[in-house]
Amino acid sequence: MEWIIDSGASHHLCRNRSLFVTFKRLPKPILVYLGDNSTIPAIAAGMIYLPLVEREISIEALFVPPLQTSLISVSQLSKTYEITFKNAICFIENCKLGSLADRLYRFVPHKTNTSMVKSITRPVEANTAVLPTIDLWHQRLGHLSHQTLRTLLPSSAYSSTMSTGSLPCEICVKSKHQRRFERQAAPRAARPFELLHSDLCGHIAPESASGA
Amino acid sequence: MAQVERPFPEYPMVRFRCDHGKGEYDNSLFRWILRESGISFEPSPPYTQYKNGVSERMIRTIVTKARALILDSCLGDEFWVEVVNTAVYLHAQSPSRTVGGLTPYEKLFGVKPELGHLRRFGCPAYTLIPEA
Repeated sequence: MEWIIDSGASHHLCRNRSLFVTFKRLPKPILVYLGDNSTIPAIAAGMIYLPLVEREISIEALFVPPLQTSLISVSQLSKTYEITFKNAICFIENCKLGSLADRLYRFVPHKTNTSMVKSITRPVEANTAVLPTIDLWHQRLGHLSHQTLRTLLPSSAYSSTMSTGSLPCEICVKSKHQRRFERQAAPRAARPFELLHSDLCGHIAPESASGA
Repeated sequence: MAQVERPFPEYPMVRFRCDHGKGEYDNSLFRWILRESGISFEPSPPYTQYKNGVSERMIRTIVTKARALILDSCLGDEFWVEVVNTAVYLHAQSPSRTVGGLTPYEKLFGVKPELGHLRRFGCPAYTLIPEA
């Protein structure tokens, strides 16, 4: 898993869900503007630990799955740390964060040693007991249809306000979507003989009259 | 095949329907196993998947459920295997109209499945590391 240390990024952006220690879905996706003026949505935010050689730093990052590589924002880091670039190496308070490779500063996580992980106090979240809602059971059972779910749950769970039949679930709709193909005609030849089409056939056993 | 049959000696397998998997199904060893165990072989002709409709429709059911799970959890494609396994597991424990509104699990074991252990796929989980 590679990170690029980006001086132009306003936030830390991560494409790998499994790196997040805390993970909160955003109520509304935040649009991230890219260099080519296109936008991609960040759908969640959370904390990530970046293992360095001698220490570990925690960052608050946005979860942006369509991203090609994850980005470490220099401007965000510089709020709490001193960042220096010297001799093609990027330092975070005298500890090496990354080095210049292929014209970009890249951070490759140090192999986490377990003793270090243990010494870190993870954020503690008190999970209060919540009564599972219809939506939660819908999600637990792998987005089971509400028609079937109705037969499982006591009828009181479906209050009269929800009796409209289908409760909208974005995931359900998405998972039944057809993939969209962008079809484009193959480029045609501009001049005679620019493109030659060929096909093979054979072996044909009976010889032709001419002996071919 | 033996895996399916062994735990349920009271339900012997009688017929085996499949597509025209030349090589996978239609080979002398497989045919021999079927013949020895008295199972009739019902392959569909080539390019007639619809004659293997039950399997093909189940693939759609499972894949749709798996896709819902992977989208819901925001996990990457590397979790596809886990997601499909979970989808199959959940399907076996969800009511199905074709088995008369029962769950496939209940139809097989005669008791209702316990669903209290189910959690949302991809939710945070913690491992307890006992102090050594």
